[in-house]
Amino acid sequence: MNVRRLANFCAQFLSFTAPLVPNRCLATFVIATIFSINVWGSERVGNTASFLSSHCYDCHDANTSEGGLNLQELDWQPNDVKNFAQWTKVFDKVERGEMPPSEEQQPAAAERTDFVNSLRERLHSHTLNRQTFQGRVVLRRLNRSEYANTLRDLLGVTTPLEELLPEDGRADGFENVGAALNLSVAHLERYLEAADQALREATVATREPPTMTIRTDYEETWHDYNHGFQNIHWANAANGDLAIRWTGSAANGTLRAWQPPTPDGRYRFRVRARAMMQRDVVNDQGEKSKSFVHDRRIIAKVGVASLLKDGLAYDEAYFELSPDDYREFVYEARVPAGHSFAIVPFRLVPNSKDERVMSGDMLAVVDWVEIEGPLHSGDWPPPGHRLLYGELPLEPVDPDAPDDGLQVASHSPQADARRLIADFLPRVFRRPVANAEIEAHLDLFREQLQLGRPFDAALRAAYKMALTSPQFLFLQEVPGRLDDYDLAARLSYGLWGSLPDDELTRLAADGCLNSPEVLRAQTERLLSAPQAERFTKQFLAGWLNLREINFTQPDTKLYPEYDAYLQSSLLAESEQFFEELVRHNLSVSHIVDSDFAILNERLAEHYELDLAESFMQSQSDNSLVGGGNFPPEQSRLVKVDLPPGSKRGGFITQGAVLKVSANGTTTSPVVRGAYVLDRILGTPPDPPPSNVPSVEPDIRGATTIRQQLDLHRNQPACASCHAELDPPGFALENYDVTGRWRTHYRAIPESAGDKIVKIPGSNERLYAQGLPVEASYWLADGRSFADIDEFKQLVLEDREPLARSVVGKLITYLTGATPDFADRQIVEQIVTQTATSQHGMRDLIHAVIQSRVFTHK
Amino acid sequence: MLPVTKRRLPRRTLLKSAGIALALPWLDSMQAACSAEASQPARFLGVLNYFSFHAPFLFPQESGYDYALSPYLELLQDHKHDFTVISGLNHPDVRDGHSSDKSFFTGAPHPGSPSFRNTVSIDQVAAEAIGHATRYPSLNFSTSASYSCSYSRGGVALPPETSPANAFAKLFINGSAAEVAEEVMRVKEGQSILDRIGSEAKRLQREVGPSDRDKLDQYFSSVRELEKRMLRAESYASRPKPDVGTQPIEDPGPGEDIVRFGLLLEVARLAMQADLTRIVTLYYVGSSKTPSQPGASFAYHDLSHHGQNSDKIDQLAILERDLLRQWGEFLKRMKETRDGGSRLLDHTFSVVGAGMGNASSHDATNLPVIVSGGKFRHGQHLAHDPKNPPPLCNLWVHALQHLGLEVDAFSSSTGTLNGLT
Repeated sequence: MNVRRLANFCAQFLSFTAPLVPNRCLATFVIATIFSINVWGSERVGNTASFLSSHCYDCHDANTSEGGLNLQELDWQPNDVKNFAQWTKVFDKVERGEMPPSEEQQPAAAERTDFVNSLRERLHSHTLNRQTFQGRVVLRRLNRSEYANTLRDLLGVTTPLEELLPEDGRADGFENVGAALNLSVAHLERYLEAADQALREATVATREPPTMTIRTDYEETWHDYNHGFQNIHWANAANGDLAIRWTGSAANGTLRAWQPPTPDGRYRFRVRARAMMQRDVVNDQGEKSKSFVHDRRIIAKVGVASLLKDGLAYDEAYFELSPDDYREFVYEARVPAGHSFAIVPFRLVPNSKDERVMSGDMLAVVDWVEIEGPLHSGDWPPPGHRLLYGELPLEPVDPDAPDDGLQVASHSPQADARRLIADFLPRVFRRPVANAEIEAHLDLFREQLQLGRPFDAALRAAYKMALTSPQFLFLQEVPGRLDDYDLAARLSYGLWGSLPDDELTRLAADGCLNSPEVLRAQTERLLSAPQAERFTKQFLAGWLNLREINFTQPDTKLYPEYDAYLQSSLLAESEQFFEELVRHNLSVSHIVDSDFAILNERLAEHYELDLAESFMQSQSDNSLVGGGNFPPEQSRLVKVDLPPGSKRGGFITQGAVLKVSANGTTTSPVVRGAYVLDRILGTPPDPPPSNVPSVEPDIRGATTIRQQLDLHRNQPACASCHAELDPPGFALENYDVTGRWRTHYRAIPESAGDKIVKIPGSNERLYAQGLPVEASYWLADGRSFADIDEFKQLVLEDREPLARSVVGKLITYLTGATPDFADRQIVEQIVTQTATSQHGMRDLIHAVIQSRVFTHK
Repeated sequence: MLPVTKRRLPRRTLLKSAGIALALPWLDSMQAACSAEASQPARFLGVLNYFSFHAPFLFPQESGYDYALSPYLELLQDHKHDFTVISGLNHPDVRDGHSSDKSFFTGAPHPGSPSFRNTVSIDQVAAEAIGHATRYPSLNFSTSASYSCSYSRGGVALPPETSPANAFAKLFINGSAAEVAEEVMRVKEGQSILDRIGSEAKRLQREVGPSDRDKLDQYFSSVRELEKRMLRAESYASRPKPDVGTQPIEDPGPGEDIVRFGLLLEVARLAMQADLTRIVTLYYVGSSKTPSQPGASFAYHDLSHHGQNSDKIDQLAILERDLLRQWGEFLKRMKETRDGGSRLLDHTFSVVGAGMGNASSHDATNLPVIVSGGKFRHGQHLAHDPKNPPPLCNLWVHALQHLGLEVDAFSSSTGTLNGLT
C-alpha cells in the first residue's frame, strides 16, 4: 500500500470508528467481531433466545423446519453470506409482524421490540465493522459502457467500443456493481483489441481533411449515379422534387455510396423535406387517376444504412414532415465506411380522421440533402491526437511521397515519450502516479522502439498497456473515507458514466472535493450537464429494467399498431420523465402517479389522449423539455397536463414499464406484481417454488389469466405469496403488452362468432374482442380497489416506502454496491431528512451523495 | 483445474470398474478391441436452441428402443439408430423462463434472480483439461452476438463468433506475408504488455483487502491464461492453416438465421475434422425479425408464445422443422466424415437441446434433449419421470467422461444418467 493510501486509511479508520466504540476496547471489539463465528449461536442470551424458543421453534425446529428454516440449528455466523441473509430475513419477518403468523399466539409488543432491537444491533454492527475494515464496495471494474464512454471522452473516438466487450454481470438489475463484475481472459483479450482500435482511430495520419459539404437534390439523383438517392420506387412530384416512397425494401431511400468513399466518422445531415400523399382523384369525366396532394403530415424515419452490406439501419430517428411547407431538419450520426444516410416515410401523424391509407401512399418529398463531415472539433490534429502526441509535428512517412501518409515525428524520442507518458497516466489512472509506474510504461516503449517499431507505434504500445492495466480498469478505493481523487472518480462515473473532467480533477488536486459544499456544487454541475443523460439511461435500465425494451416484439396480429417509432418514444417518455423529476426536484409520489406526462403525438395517440391543443401551444410558446440531451430538431416530447380520467401519470402506467413487464403476447399479473413489489415498492418477493408449474396463457379467448390464476392461488400453499404478488398485477391488468389501455383482452379471430374490432385509425387492422378485463382486487391487508386509480391512491397513502425503495436503488447505482444491513440506517436518515420536500428526486440524489455510503469505500 | 487423463478409454467404463479386481481382464480385452479407434480424440459439440421445441411434436409417445417417431423426429429418421431422444430432464432450481438458458450448460441455480452469478459451463471445464492439445481450446458460436451459452470459471459469458465467414477465415484461410508478420508483431507486443501488467496486478494484490483481492486474482489469472494463449498463437502464427478442400464459406443475408445456423454447424464440423479444436458450443437464437422461411409471418419468439393458437403452432413448426433438418444434415456429414478408421460422429458427443420445456408458458421442466455420438447405444427414447426428474447435469457428466476427464460430478449432478449405455 502506498504511503498516501496508508495514511488515508489510518486517519479514516480512527475517525470512522471512534464514535462507535470507545478506543480502549477497540482491539477487543475488533477481534470479537472478526472471530464472531458461533458466538451468538452458543450464547443465545437473554430475550433473543427465549423469544426464539417460545415463538419460533414450534414451526422452525429440527422436526418441522417450515419453509426450510430450522432456527434451533441456525448458528450466528455473520461472515457467512447465506447465514447472514437468513438472520436478516428472520429480522425482517419479525419486525414487519409477518412472523409469528397471525393465526399463532403473538408476542407482547415489548417482547417483540426487545428482540428486534437486539437482532438489529447485531446485524448492524457486524456490517458496519466489515465496512470499516474492507469497505462496502468491492473493487469495481469499469463496465463496458463506462469503458467506452471513457475512451470516447478521452480520445474523441466514435467506434462503438462497448460492442467489442463481453456482457457485464448484474446485481439487482444494475451493471455497475463491483461484486458482480467479474473478469475473464475474454475481457483481457478484448481490452487489448479495443484499446488498439481506439488508439489507432485517435491517431491522425493525414493533413486536416477538408470537412466536405456535399449537397444533392433530385437532379443529382436522376443524372449522377454516384451522388443520388437509391430510389427504386421514386415519384416525380411534378415540380421537380424527389419523393421517396416506402416499399419495404431496406435500401429504399438510401443515398448511394460516395465516390471517393466517405471515411468512417461522424456526419451531419441537413435535410429539407415535406410531406406528400398519393390519392385517387376522380375528374369531371369520372376518370380515376393518381394524384399527389399535400394534405397530411407524415413521420419520416432517418438513419444510417448500407446498400452494399446488410441493409441494416443504425441510430434511427424520427422527424415530422409538414404538408404545408418544406422544413429543414438536422441529423447527426456516425457513418461507418460503406454506409450512408437514408430517409423513408414511416407513418402518418395521427389525427382523429379514420381513413384508409396504404403505407405506399405516403411520400417524403426531399428538396435537398446536405452532408457535412467527417466532423471534428475544429482544431487539427483533434484533441485525442494531441493527448497522445502533444504538439509533435506530423511528417511524411516517405519524404519522396509527401501526400501519401503522415506520422508523428520525434527528434528526441526518449524525452518526448517520458513527457507524454507522464501526462497521460494521471489522466487515465485518475490520480497522480508514482515514478515507477511511468518507468514501467517507458520500459515497454523503449523495448518496442528497439524492436524497430516507429515512434508512434511504440508509444501506443505503452498507452495500450495503461488502458489494459488494473489501475485503469478498476476503481481502486481504500477502506474509510475516500480521498479526493477517488471521490471525483465515484462522482463522475456515477453521474456521467465516465472519467473525471478537468474541473473535478483540479478540485481533487486542491484537496477540497470532500467539503460538503463543494461536493454539492459539483453534484449540481454534473447533474445539469448533458452527460447526465448517461446516468438517466443507465439508472433506468437497471432500476426499471428498461434495458429490455427491445427484448420482445409484440405479437403483430394482436398488436399491429405497435411500431419502432412508438418504441423509441416510449423509452424517451420514461427517460425524460425521470429527468423532469430530477430537474424540478419532484416528489417520489410521481413514480406512482403524476398530473403531467411527457409525450409526443404518437404517444398521445397510443394512450388515446386528445392533446392536440397542448401540442399546438407547446410549439408556439416553445416550452419544450429535453434539456439539450436530445437533438432539438428531432420530433420532440413535450410536457403536458394530463386530463382528468386519463389513466396515465407516473412510471407504473408508462408504456415502457408496461412493455418490459409483459412478454409480447400476454400479460401476467404475477410477473407485473413481482416487478412492482421489487422495483417500485422495495419489497421483492421470494423466488417461485420449484415444484409448481407455470400458468400457461391462452390467447384463444376462452379463459382469462385471472380465471387460470384463481385455480392456482386458491391452493393454500400458493395463497400467502400471491396475496402480495397479485394485487399490483391485477391493478395493471387494464394495460396490454404495449401499454395501451384495454377493457377487453384481444384474441386472434378463430370463429365466425368472434366480435371483430378495428384498431383506431385503420380499417385494415383487426382483432377479435376477448373476455373483459377485471382489475378490481384487494391488497394483502384487505383494503380493496376497483381499478388502477384507486390502487394508486392506496399506495400513495404512505410515500415513504417509495422513497426508501428508490434511495436503495440510487445507493446501488451511485456507489456500485447493493445496500448492506448497516446502510438501512442511512436510508432511514435520508427518508426522514427529505420529508420536507416530499422526498424530491434531486434531494434524494444529493442526500445519497453526501452520505457515508457515498463518501466511504 | 481438473485432472487430465491421457488414456483414451471411455472414462465411464473405467470409473465403473475402478477398484474392482474382477474388472481387470475385461478392461484389457476392451482396450485391445478398441485400440484402433481409441487413438482418435474425443470431441464435444453442444447446441442450445433459445426458444425450445414444441414438445408435443418432439417427444415420442412410447419410450425405449421400440418407439414410433414423433412428427419432428421423422425429419431425423435416417439417423434413428444414431440418436437418443431424452425426455423428463431438468435443472434443479432453474425455473426462470428465458433466463433458464444461461444455466443450460452450467446447471447454476436461479438464473433469473437479480443477483445471479453463473458458474462455469461444461465446454470450458473440458477446455481447461484437454484444450491444450489443439490450436483452439474451444470454439463458441452463436447466431446472435448478444447471446452466449459458454461461461468462464467466473461466470462471465464468453463472447461468441456469429459470422461463419469470419470463423472459416480464422480457421482455414492463410493470411498474406504482411498479415502474418503483423499478427506475430501484435502477439509479441501483447506478451510484453501482459508481462508488465501482471506485475502491476501482483503489486496491487498486496495493497487490497480480501474481497478486493478476489477481483485482482481474477485479473491476474486472466493475464496468465492469456499469456498461455499468446504463446500458442505465436507458435501457430507462422504455420500454414489446414486445407479442408472446400470453398470459403460466406455469410448469409439478413433474416436467414437458419442458414447461418447450418453454416456455423459446418464450420464446427470442419474444425473438428481438422482437429483445430475438440470442443464447440453453438447457440441458436431466432432473431426478433420475421424469418426468411415461406409460411412464417412472425418472429420465433412471437410464435413460441403461441397461446395454443393453432395457426401460430403451425408456423412455429415451420421454423423448428428447418432447425432439425439442419441438425439431420449435420449428423449425415458427421457420419460421412472419416476419422481414423471410423465415423467422426462416433467420437463426437453431439447434443441439441433447450433451456425451456415449454416456451409458451416459460416452463423449464421436461427439457428437450437429443444426443448423438459419444459411443452410446442409440436408437431409443429415454423417458424419465418428469415428476422425479434427474438433473440434466447427469448427462453433462457423461459428456465430460467421454472427453476423457476423470470426473464423476458436474454442478448439480447426482451421478450419471440411468438408461444411457
